[in-house]
Amino acid sequence: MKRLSLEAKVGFFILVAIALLGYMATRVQGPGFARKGAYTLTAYFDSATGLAKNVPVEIAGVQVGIVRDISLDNGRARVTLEISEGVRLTKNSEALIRTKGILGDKYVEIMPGLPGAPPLSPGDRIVQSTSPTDVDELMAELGRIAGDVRKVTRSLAEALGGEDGARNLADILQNLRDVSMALNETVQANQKQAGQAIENIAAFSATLRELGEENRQDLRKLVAAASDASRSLEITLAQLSEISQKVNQGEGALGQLVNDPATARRITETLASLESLSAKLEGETVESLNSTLASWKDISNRINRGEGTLGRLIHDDETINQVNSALANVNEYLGKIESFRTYISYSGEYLFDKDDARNYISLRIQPKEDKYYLLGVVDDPPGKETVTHITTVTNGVTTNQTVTELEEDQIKITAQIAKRYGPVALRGGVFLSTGGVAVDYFLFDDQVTFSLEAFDFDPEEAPHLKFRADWSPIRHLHLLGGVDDFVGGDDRRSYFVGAGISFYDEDIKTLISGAPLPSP
Amino acid sequence: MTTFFEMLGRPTLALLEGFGRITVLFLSAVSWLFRPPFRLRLLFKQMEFVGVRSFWVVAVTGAFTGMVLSLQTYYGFRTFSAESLVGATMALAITRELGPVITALVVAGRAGSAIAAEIGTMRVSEQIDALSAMAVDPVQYLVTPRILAGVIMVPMLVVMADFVGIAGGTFVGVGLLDINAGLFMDKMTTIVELDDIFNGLIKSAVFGLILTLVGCYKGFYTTGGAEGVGRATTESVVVSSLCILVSDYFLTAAMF
Repeated sequence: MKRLSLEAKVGFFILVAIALLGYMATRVQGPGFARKGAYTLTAYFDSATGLAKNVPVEIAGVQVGIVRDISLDNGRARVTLEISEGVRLTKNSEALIRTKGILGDKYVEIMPGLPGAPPLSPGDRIVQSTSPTDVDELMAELGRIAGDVRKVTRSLAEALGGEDGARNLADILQNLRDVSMALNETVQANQKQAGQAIENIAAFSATLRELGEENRQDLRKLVAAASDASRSLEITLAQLSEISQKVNQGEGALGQLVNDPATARRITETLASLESLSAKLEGETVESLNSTLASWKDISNRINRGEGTLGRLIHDDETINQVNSALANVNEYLGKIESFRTYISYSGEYLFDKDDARNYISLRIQPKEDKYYLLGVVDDPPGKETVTHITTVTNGVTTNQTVTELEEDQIKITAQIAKRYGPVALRGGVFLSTGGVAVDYFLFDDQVTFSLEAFDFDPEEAPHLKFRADWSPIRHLHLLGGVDDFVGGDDRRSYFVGAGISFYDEDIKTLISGAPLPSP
Repeated sequence: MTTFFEMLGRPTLALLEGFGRITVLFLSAVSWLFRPPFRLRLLFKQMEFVGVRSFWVVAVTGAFTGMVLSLQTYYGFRTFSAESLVGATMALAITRELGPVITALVVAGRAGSAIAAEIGTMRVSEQIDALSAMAVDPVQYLVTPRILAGVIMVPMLVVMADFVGIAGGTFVGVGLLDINAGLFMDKMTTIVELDDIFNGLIKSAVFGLILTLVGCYKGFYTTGGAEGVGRATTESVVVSSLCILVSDYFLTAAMF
């Protein structure tokens, strides 16, 4: 075997050394935290004692970052945390300084907030933070508690300690023992009787309960009535006693009457005639009352049976169904009105090559999210150029004549129906007073729209094709640009830019839906 | 009276002269780094001699240093139940301090002395004069390759000593003393940082410069035949070891 050359030995040696260095370097870096793409958050603590730079930041014991910086800000510790790219935190997260290991190494723990809360973005501040409990503070608190405990024990010792206290305690215990002994004796002596008594009570209470349950309603009424009665009785008795007192003394008419025998006789007669009158009255009145009640009863029975208009209304399921469906219809109608949108928009396009501008005023009626109608008028000064070739034969001479007609300053109309499928909308109808179709492509939440319109399909000429880009940087405002009629040859093609405004109109919506709606 | 001043003055002058000579030697060696001819063959020969051939002695020294460190720190940490920190302590000590210093001392004893003896012998047998006579600059031919080899190869040896030392320490800690392997490695990798290793390597490059420069210097200025060669060899080991240990302190103070 040929010996290794000098260079090979040295090269091999250096390679081995570099490989070992690389291996150790990757090992000591550790997989804990990837710096790439990390973002920073800040948290404020009343005290960051013991916290050091580059200590880990953990969630549930898993390292998600490191402490990048600690500084003083208005008397509080401002701690900058560097968090791994993939870890997303929400606004109600909480940062805590925790201790790990017997040597008390500090690190930052983040308690993630509820998942629904808004997310924290790079550079934000974690509002909730908890500083570590200071051991000194803890000791001071413990000291105060110990003081309180000592006070309690001292007063206890004063109350119970000493000869008096001991004697008192002994007396109390003696008394307790006597009482319990006596109790015991009594109970044992009367065990049998007590048992019987208890049985009786049980039986009695059971009966009572039955009674009560059966007549609960009556009892309640009875009690209420008794209470009322007793109150009025009280008043009556009071008045009676007053009256009788007066009568006894011969005061007033009654007093005189009572004390006069003639009067007494007359009273007796009167009472007798009153009695006969009331007997007669009783017969007639009761009869008529009874008949009234009977007819009422009859009516209510008929209603219950579902007879008559009222009865049918109440008893027929059909009625209910109709009412329900009517309500459903109303709901649907209201829902439609709710999703109903109308927009009024104005836009102007300046056509460079024509050196003129086109103005659009349009009303967009959108009964559903994916469908709308477009109605509008267009002021189209460039107009349309119509070239007519007239060939006349006069006296055998053929004359070719080309007539160019230019429609200028025409007011044209737009009437289109559009249907949208996801980011694409198809439109069809009248474009600049001619038939046509168009496709729109929406991007970025409809902020940007690309449209391609094709209309004015003349068999002799190329159709009018128009490409338009529309950007709405803020609501209501549109910026436009594009190329008009780009297949119509050099003299028809024109680049344009423009701007427009559009409004969502609540009033027109209610006008069209035909019913006034409470504005939300 | 004059003898007293002579007694004071002669060693002082000798010391100053030594400093001057070693500085001049160093500067001219550095200047030859950038001037042709580059003698790559000589450089490789020295790299092989200083580096590759020192591997086994450095590896054994490093392994046993790591092993004994684990054993010693284990007895210390066991008293407060922190055995898992043995790995971290051992690895820190090796990468920051013991790897570079022990490697440098071993290489100074093995290669530095050999350099001094070789160049010294060439000096006393007038081979260096012969080189000059052949219009070959002896510094360019003898000193520059050796110093460059030392600066390159000693850090390489230290990388290996670090690795072997940590492996030996891990073997003792985990294998013999039964410390939990996961905790041992985890503490080691979290506490040791890349800077610890790199600062050790920077120091060891300086040590490589010192031991080869001192060896060359002692050999280059050898006088007095075979006896002078022996003295030069001994002095080169003593001086370079002292310089390594003293400069180690200042380098560490400057870097960490």
